[in-house]
Amino acid sequence: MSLDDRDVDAIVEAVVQRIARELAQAAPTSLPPAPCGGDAGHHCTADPRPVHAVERPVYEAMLPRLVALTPSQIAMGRAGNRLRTDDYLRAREGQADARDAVHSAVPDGWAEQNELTPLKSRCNDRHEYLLFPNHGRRLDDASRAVVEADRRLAPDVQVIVGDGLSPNAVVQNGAETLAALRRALTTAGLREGTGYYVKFARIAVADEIGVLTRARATVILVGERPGLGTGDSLSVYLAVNPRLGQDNAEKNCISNVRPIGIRPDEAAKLSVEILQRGFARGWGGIDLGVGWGRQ
Amino acid sequence: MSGLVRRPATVLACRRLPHAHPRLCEALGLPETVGGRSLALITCDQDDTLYAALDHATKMADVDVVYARSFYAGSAHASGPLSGEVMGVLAADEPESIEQGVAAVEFALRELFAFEEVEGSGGVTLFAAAIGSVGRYLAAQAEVAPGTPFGYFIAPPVEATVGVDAALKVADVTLRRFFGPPTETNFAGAYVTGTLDAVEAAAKAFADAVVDVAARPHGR
Repeated sequence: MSLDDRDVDAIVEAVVQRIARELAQAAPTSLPPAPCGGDAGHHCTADPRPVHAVERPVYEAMLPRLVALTPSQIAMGRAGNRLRTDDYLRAREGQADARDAVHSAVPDGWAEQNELTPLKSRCNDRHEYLLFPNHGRRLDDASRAVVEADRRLAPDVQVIVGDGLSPNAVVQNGAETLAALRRALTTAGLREGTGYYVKFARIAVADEIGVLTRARATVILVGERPGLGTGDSLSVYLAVNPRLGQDNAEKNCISNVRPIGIRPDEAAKLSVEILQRGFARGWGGIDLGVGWGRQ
Repeated sequence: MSGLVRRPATVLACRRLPHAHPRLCEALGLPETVGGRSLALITCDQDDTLYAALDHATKMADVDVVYARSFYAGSAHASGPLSGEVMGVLAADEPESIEQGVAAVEFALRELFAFEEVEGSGGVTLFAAAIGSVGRYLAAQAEVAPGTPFGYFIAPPVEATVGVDAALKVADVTLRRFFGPPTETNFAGAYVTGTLDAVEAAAKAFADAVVDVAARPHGR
């Protein structure tokens, strides 16, 4: 038996219509939420974390306390000697968040919106930035010329924002932290000069800018290397008497600036306290003593 | 206008009890634990400075402030050279936490908090601390959540009352507690909360008002 094309078309048409009718009858009045990855732009959210999922815990009372201390995925229980599927997916989600953050970008115009002059390191793309850390520690020639032409020289505090390893963190928390820092500097009577934003920035790019502007100190807000589910974390690095090749031990850092960590206004207050202390002593970093920044 | 001179606090005694007797722990209101509790007993010549420092320790170490009281009439009338005007007790599950807690108290007394004296006032002192993120001890005292921006203002009675009024008028802060005279040391003051900016503005207004009262006690 053979069918010509017209017969095939007719059969297909009839079947499609019948399926459509049956689906329409079976369809519930409201659709269930799309599963993860369903619609474009659908945000993947895991079920709320249970207090704990440990079977037969020895110290049951302690588990909620431990879980409450951290957003880390602890006391998850297990299936055999492996993670349960939900926990595995949550870990994958956290890692995806981190990878997204590393490869994200601060949108063009963000710098100008926040009254910062945009600059760029010697990296030409994100790939180069990740592979060659040294290229992110110096300005490219055009940016260097911009800073050299700056007439608002020798500020007390040179304010810089860099995208760092998590541009997402700058997008999410940068504007608020920068505003809080500027308020705190003004209140403390510290002059900030021209603010700069550096694309493809490592922390040490602040040294070069500080040297060029002859600043007494630099402050750079930079997106922090993301961990599991911490793609929005910002760090503040403070350096008194900036110079090229300044050791990290001579700098102070306030990390974990984000909604579930240190608030922007608190980070700004700590920054100014550290700077004032540094100016009084004439140096910064670990020699300021234990307890400055966070212990 | 007169300036303010920092008057750093001094720790007069600091003794550890690595394994305090269970009956003493019970008397201090500590929950019963299997291993007993480590304590640190600290006296200081400034009560409010020590309270703020003890609170700082709850942020930096796994310690609780289980006792903190001022002595009647303050440092000038102390019961002995090691008494000062306050005793605070830190408690922890083990001695290492106590060491961290004591280090945090010493740091806070050295670097963060101190009474200030109004220059040329013959001894008017004030305490105006703007704490970015309050610890568990003061949070419980003021019945606010730990981590709240927190203003801690203390001065002699009239100075403090005028100061608190100025702080509340100048800044958008909420009065959490008011300490009217007589208190143990006959100082007065308040706890306030708000955004950190507001709390800092309130602290400045409080200090300015105290300086003003010191300069013009009769308002003229």
